[in-house]
Amino acid sequence: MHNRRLAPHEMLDLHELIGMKNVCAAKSAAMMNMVTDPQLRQFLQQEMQTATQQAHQIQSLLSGGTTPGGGRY
Amino acid sequence: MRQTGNMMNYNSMQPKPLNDQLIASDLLSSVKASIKTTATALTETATPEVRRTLEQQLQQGLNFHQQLINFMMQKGWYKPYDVQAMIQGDLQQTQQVHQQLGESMQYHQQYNQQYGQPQYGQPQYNQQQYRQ
Repeated sequence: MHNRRLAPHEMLDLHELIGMKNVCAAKSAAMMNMVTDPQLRQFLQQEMQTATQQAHQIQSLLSGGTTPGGGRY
Repeated sequence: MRQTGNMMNYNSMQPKPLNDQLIASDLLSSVKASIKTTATALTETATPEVRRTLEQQLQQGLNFHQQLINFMMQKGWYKPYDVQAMIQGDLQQTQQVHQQLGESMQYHQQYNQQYGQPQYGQPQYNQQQYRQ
């Protein structure tokens, strides 16, 4: 999936970020089953959803598609 | 004494050292790392669309960080205005974690004695796969 519009170093930064977001989302999902405090569970759920959404946005940037909720760039 | 050696039983009976406070600390670490990595990427970007996306994600991260910090302060898990108390809490937490890990280690050793050590053997990966 070669993207001519992004500079190589931008792709590397996005690569690092998307990895972090994926780990965050998966880890938050796993930890939701371990917590007892309902408020903390909400934080984990929020983090899971936000990280997933952000990973999708970065995915769009990397694949040169359209950003969710935005136009084609 | 455990009756059966299946994995379900193993998992359901093993001690769980991760409590709410540790999970909150882990979440805070993740958010902080995420904010810093996003900010670093922002200072390197030239493409307006990347910039726009990362700016938005940075703001989301900062907002989440603030909410989480407030929550942890309410819980007494984070005391930025009383460093003495915070360090005291750190020491207490360290002791608690080490104690729980000791119990956990004991549990796994007992389990292994009873049902045998897991056999790991040689790594299974195919070296060819990693050569270009």
